[in-house]
Amino acid sequence: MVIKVPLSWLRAYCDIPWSVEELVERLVMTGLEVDAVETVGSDFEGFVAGRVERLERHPNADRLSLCTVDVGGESLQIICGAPNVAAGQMVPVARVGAALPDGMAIRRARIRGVESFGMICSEAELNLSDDHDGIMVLDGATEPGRPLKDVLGGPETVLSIDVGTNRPDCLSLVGLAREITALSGGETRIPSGAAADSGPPVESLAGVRVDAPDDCPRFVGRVITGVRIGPSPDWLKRRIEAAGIRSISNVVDVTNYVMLELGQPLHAYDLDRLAGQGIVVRRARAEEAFTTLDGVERTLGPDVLMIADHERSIGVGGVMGGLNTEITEDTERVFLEGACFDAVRVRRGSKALQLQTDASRRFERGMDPELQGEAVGRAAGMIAEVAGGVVAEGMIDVRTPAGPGPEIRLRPDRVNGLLGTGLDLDEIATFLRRLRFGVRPAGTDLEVSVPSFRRDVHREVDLIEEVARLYGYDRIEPAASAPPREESVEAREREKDLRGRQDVRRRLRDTMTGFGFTEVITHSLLHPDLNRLIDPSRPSVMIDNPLSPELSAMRTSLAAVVLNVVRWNANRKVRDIRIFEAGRVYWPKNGGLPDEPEQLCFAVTGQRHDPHWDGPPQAFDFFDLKGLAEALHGRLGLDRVETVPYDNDDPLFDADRTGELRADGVRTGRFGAVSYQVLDRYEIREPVWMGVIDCGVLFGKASERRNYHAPAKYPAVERDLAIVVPEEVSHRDILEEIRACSGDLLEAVELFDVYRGEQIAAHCKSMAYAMRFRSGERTLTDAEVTKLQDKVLRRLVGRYRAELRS
Amino acid sequence: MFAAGCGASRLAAASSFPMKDRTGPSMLQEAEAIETRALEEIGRADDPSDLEDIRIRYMGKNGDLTRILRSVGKAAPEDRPRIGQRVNQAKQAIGEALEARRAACETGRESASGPLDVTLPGRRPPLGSKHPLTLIREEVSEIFRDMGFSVVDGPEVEWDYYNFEALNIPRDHPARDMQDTFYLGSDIVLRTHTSPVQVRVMEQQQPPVRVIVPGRTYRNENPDATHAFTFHQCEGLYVDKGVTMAQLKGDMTYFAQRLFGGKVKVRFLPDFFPFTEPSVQYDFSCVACGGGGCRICKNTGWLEISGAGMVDPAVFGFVDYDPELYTGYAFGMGLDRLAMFKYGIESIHMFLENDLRLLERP
Ligand SMILES: [Zn+2]
Repeated sequence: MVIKVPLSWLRAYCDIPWSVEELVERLVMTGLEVDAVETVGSDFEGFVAGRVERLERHPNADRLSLCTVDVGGESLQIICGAPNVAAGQMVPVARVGAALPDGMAIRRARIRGVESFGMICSEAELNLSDDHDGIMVLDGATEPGRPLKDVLGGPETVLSIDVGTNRPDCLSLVGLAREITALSGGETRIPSGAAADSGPPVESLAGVRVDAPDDCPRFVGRVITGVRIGPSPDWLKRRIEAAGIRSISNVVDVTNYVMLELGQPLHAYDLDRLAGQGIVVRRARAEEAFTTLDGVERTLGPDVLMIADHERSIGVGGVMGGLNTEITEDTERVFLEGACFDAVRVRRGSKALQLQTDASRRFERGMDPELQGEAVGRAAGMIAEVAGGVVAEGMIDVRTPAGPGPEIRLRPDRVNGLLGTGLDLDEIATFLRRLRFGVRPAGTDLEVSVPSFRRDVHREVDLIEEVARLYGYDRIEPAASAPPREESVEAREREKDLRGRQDVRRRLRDTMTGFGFTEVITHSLLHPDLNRLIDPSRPSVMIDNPLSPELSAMRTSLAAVVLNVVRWNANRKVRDIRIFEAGRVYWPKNGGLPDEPEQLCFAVTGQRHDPHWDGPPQAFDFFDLKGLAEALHGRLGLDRVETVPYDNDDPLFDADRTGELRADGVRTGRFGAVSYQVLDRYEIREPVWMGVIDCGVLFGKASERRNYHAPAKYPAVERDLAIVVPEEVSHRDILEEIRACSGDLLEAVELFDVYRGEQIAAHCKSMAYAMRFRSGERTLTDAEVTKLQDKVLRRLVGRYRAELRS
Repeated sequence: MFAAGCGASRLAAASSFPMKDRTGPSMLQEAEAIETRALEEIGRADDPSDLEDIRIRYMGKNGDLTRILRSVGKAAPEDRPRIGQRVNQAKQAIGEALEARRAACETGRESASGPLDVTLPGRRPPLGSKHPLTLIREEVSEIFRDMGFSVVDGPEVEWDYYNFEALNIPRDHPARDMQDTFYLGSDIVLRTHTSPVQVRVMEQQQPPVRVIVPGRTYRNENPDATHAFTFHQCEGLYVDKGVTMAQLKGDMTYFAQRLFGGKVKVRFLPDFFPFTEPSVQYDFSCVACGGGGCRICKNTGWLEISGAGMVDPAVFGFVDYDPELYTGYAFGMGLDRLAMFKYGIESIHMFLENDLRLLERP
């Protein structure tokens, strides 16, 4: 949570012996992130307070006013365009010769034929806030002609400090002053919470009942009677506005002032609008309707804490009050609430209203249970001061007695053991005392008591962090960690296993890039329709609270996202795309977490090679893709890799141009031409070749191990076989026969020609194979090989009506 | 230059085949060796006249193979057919190779017709490249492996328990606001960091534990100039007896210097995370300007990297480690961010945009 800290205000609670730069540096080193340092206002050289004596319409412009302004002993004619300017107002005037904080010089000017001798300024023009809706109106009691710097103060430096959720005590000026004096060694000046209470006893005016003591361990109330609601004095307005809070009225401004000062959120009620002059703290009823200050009616449930009077709800505990008991111009008696609410309860209320307020953010982070009496007293006194009235005697204080704060034993060995430092007991004790911990020695250790405002500290390790902060992390000397120590056999095996799998992933990527493919990494969220398009039978893993419908499902296939990349690049005139992604897809499972299998998806468009002057371009085709997919398998050490017809009505692929990959008889993936149906949906206008590989199977079968074979000792015999077979006979059919007949003696067989044409019968094709025979034990004779060859031919003739091609 | 090479091999050929004292088996071996050598020379030759030289040398009237055939009579009678067969086989192989090579040489010549212009574009094999996030992940993993860390991963769709509760971020804790979360039902989230894997590892194994977890993480944030809803993170954990914050600083310094060079310094600033205590933000001195101040480091001289700290004893409580016996450090880092610094990438959105004109590096 970021708070704005006007430095002049902060100085009211501590001395700051450093320049602004040094202060920022020290705050950052102690854990308070300073997001910004800004200057508000200026020294207002040549600016004065002035009273608008007369107001006339500009003779030549409807929207402009001709003001006569008393600037102390003289009257100036000034033209003003603000709608809110009125006679009698005390206003800030920039005289001729002055310069606005943004550098604009004020000159004598002629505007639509009338002379103007200065400018009446808005808060924005004075660099006080962003408000440029109208001119700023000063306290009417200000003397005309008074230098503006005396009225508003000089330039103000405002720090924006980002306070972590663990340090709610620093969400106040006093809390920050405590941090600063812990660093500087100075004193913190904490304002008194005692209020002069001369009115009737508070119990005679109001009552408080807490029905939910766990949710509200403490509720303090005071009453101020006879107040006059009106604008705040300038100094008060200026301070809270510099801290980023809008001025509303004197009473409300005081509650905010004290919240900024001490960190305790306060709420002011019009006592006369509280039914039964009392407050009840209770849980909301089921479906309880409540209208918040913003005028919206909301329905709440029993996990929200309500503040009620004796008839109805008047606020959501720790979050915001209601319209019905708000302070108005007519309020005379104020009931002031300062409570300690349970952090979780406030968080629930804040979630229920979908509203975070300055109060709720503070309560959610944990409230000091000792702060309420002081804060309410301080505010009551200030209200009497700025709004008149009398503080009723005493305060209502309904509380569950808090136990004593924790006592923590702190071992110096542990401090140094965790931080890697060599601090002694005295140094440690000094740091903690400066942070207002109670410290007393207990043997070689320290016994530490925690102040009520440090609710984040309850363990030894929390104290060690405090010591480290004050000692300074920059003073911790870097040390090398111990070398990996002798670990168990199991640990080594685990690591070997892990590395094995990671190595396959790496080889996979190395191989694909070696084949000329560029790796892409895409989002895993998409529109569920894309999943349905590619893999209609598989449901998607859905996000409950997506950023948009386009990002509401998790991808079930990489194809869906890789095609996006193809389209994106094709639209930018990238030709000859060769990309791959290796990543997870997400498949729902009944019960438990979804499966996250890994896939490899590659896509190709365009030419086989980069264009070259030496020859015409050749389109990438099915056999390029097949060769690539099989080579990849081979590179990863898979055995018996083959492609078989893929007869599945997979909408991703064109049924006539797709194949299924197998290794050792197990399906590892599929590839082919992406179907027109899918391409149309993606608005891709050129053919895309794609392969989708199941990495799980691939990794399961990939082997690191390479068995090298000694070169053959005996010579090989090579024979060619050209046959004519009917079209429906596949290469694989022929291969199987050749293999089946030749057994171990067949070393290799390669298809070297496929021919269809004049010399071949219709619906037939000629297939020519080169076969290499070799024995590991002897030199094969010609006769032997010829016999084998004849056998192959007989089988093919018998089975597939093959004919030997002459 | 090729002539010199051929001359040298001719000499070698002459000296390695003395013509006396022949037995059948040795002649067989010789024939095989000659074939191998000849095929090798043919493969290297790129001029028809070189090929003719080779033919004469091996198969001519006084060629090596011819001489073996002539001396076949000196071998034992039962070996003679085999030797003859082998020599003929070698002749056939060499003849075919010569023919093929000659054809290849001539085609080469034809396409280049005229004198060779070496400045004409060559045929480049297509160049692929790995994604920068893969490159940085591999590099980061390698450095930490050298430091004794294992690289592990776990599910991206994760139980709330592992992502939050076991990391000391209970429900209703304001720290959950820091991490806007995608939910899939009330108990399952898209992981907001990779630390849940560390909890899983600690559940499985006793210290010492040294792991890094690079992987994809998610935040329910509307993308803007500096934010995306998918990040690539790498979180690390080291638990053992006597692990200190000084070691955390030393190890992060080692890492920074391995990744960015020996001049990089590391600084710690106090910070807060529910799962570490003490917690720090760690910065590297700017890798672009060396710490003097530049646009990249917004003139501070430092680059904010991520958070780190000593593992909170509460986290050890969830995995039944004894916090009196063991201490540990944990750290995070954004791989996207490191890649930006390392490869000079300007926008986080470039990573998942996959503009091939950028990814295909020359
Ligand atoms: Zn720099």
